[in-house]
Amino acid sequence: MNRTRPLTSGLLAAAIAGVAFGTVIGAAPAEAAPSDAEIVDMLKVIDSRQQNNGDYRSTAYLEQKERGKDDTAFEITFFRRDFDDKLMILFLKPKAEAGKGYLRLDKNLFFYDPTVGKWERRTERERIGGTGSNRQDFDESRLALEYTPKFVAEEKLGKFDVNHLTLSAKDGVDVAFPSVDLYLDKITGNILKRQDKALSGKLLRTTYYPKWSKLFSESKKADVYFPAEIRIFDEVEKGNSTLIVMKETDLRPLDPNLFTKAWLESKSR
Amino acid sequence: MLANVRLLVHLGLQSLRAHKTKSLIVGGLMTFGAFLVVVSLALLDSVERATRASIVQSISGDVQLYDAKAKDKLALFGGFGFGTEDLGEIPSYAKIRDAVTGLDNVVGVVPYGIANAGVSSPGDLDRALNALRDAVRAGDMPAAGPLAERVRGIAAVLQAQQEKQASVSQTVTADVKAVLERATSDALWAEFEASPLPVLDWLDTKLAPLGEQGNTFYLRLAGTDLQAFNKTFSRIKIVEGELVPPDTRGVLVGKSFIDRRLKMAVAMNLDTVRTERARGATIAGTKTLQETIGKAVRASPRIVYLLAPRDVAVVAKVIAAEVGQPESTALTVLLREFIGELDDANFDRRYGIFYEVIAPRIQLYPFRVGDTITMTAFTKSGYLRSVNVKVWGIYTIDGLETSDIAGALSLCDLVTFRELYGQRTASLDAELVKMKAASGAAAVERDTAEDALFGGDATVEVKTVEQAAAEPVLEKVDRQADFRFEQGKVNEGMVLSTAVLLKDPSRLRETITELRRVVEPLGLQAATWQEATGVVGQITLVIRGVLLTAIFILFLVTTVILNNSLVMATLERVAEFGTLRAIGAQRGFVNAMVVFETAVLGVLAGVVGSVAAVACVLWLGQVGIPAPADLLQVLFGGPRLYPTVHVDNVVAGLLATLTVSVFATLYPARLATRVQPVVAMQGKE
Repeated sequence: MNRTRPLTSGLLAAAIAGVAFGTVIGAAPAEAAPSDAEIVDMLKVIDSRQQNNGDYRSTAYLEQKERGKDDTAFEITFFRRDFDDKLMILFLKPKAEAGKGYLRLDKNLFFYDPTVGKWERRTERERIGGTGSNRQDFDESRLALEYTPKFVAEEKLGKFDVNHLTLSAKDGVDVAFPSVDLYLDKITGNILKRQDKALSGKLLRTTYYPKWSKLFSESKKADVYFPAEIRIFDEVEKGNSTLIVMKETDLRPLDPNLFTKAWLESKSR
Repeated sequence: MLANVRLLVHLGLQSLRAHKTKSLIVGGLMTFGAFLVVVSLALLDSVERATRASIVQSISGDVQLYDAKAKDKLALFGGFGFGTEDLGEIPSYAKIRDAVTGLDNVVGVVPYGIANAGVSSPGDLDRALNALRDAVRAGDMPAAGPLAERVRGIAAVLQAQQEKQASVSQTVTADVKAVLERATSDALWAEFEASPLPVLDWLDTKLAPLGEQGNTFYLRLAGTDLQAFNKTFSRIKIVEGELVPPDTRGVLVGKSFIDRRLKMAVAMNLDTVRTERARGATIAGTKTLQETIGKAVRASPRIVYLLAPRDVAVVAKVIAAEVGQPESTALTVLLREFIGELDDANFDRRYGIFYEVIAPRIQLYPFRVGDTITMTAFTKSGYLRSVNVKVWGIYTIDGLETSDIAGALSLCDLVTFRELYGQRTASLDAELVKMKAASGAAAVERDTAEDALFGGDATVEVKTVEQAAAEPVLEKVDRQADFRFEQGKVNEGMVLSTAVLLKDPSRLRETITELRRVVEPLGLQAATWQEATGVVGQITLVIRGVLLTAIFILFLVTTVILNNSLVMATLERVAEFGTLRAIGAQRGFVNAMVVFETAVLGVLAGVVGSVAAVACVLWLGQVGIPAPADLLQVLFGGPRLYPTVHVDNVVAGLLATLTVSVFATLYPARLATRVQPVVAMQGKE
């Protein structure tokens, strides 16, 4: 069963994103603060670029550094079906971790460990494989749906000009972090830096997105953007950091039955 | 010379009789001091013996051997911090065992590995759904029937709760209502009969989030050779189930731990009320007991989840009769009344009903003896490792059945411990190096991250990439299949520490020196049980220190008071000493006379005080000193300390009294020798 959106809706989304991006990036003079609508459009652009109407699979290298401990690393492959909000993360390496996985169905996040053959329900804040990354780092971008943005200022990040926004979680939306600071590249519109905060305003982690890639999607009939490298620094446990490197990406349709517990179990039999 | 001694004794005794008041005051002080010293030393010795019996003979052994390069101190019961300690490793237990077993005073050697493991306990709905999925997967439809009924029953209870909630607030959404309606409908369960897996997926994702959240409890695990452990530590008793059979994986959990930490909230709170009432408290007069009953009431709806649907009517019938309500009343309402209206008159009866009618039909603990639980730990390698282990039994430590601390450690086999500990291996390191190199990512430090990533030559252009090749194939996955092992081979491998039990614990110092001589060349250090038991051991050391300091202060105060009293007495006897000097007594004679008087008093007081102290300790040994707090139970070796007194306590008391007496007399005696006859006589006139 092909569960992708109709082609027309994909083209439409791409067109909206393009127009919005052109409006936001190209039309606004550097000095004038963007309006609320323009800021929301910035988030829509980010979301729209990363969405694929069809399926998504990427293989990534995941590395965790913790102060006073040996580094750990994983190779994972994660699958998304953005159309109905499904996500699966399957651990491939090291050998001892192979076959473990996470499955997101609706608002549920399940973890499977083939060693003991059991499924467990996990929370939104689950640290994937015990690293500093969480479900949201691999899932579809839904910033415009989940947060209300506010413009702070135009700033410099290294040598790049960025728009600094603050985001507050919308009521009733289950997100890992209720408050977020985003730093968007003024030229490309991509996120370069993200700071996740607790409700109290305490900084919990800082994430950098120094490299972005894009791949043409047949189902979307447009490019799909994704961060090629993500560096997460834990601001509570100083010295802890996580690195995610996307190794390869595939936008072709996936097995229709992939997002099921049975499929993940079958991979390790 | 002999004549001088006779005269000294004669005059000294005469003087004691002549100054009766002074003798009584000083003697009384000395008697009290002797009494306190003997009692304190007897209690201290008794506490040490009892604590040793609690800890040494049940868990720790007299000495623990562990890696000399350990970053942290060994703390069997856990230290002051959180997380797993870095204790280094003993690469081969067998090597250490063989080196130590031959030593003269060593009676037992047991390997140890300490790990902290989490056991996640799903919510009741998740638990029922998991069991249903297992039954469906195994094709066991007869077992699936009652499980499906239970899921539907829980959904019905949730539906009733949501309807009640909807009548007072707007928080229940139409979606939730629709899910509950479908979950309780005949149509869904007919669909389940035809095609169970899609229905299970729907229940997992739609219904399960509406149920109660699961929780995780933590076990402090002591991995050991369970057969050797059982032979060495005689106070361990299996009260339910059995000892893990030889060469088999398994875990034993402490009875007090599961009763105080894991038991279902209603039962645990009712137990608390029962214990307090047995101690004399009443529900009517104790606010905390009323609050405890309130907690039990709030937890009572869970009983309905836990009951099999066929048992609901049975329980409802009994409870309805007890509370005088019709049997048709909802069980949640009956239970609220049954527990909420507990008082001193009906408590024992209702407590009995709970344990006779309800408890046998529900699961009181997250697991039963015989169940397999999944323990998860962060390994030394940094990875999460889960292991399935069967719970073979529940243990207590003889005499410490109700102590939390005594049952705090769960005992498991060495293979399970090693998997949860997760030694970092060379092959894993090599695999990680290869993966890291393949990623091509450079290391970036936090402080310089922004310059490194966005300064200099950095670019943020979007790179176009090619479609990936085929989906990566998963290599063979390790699944835990074997629950047996060879203990002999396992003992050849790694442990974190080794417990050594001594034949004669009074020779601890001598034996630990001998042990150090043997194990230090092997890269190990030796710690006494007080040093190796973390917080518990530290507290026993602190208590010993406090008692000894108290005795020392007591000595000091007694010496000062005695000294003052004797100085006063000496000043009153200036004329007497002057006369003695005038008729030819030498200074040495006067000095000896004063010291002799006090020494005689000291001996008499020491004997009287010691006799009183022995009587007091013997009485305490009969009635016992209660241990109201958990820690005191460990220190006392049980709910009461029955102290004993030994000859060395009495000898120490006598010697201490005599020493203090003589020491306190030195200055007054010197004053007496300085009295000039002329001055004394003038003063008298």
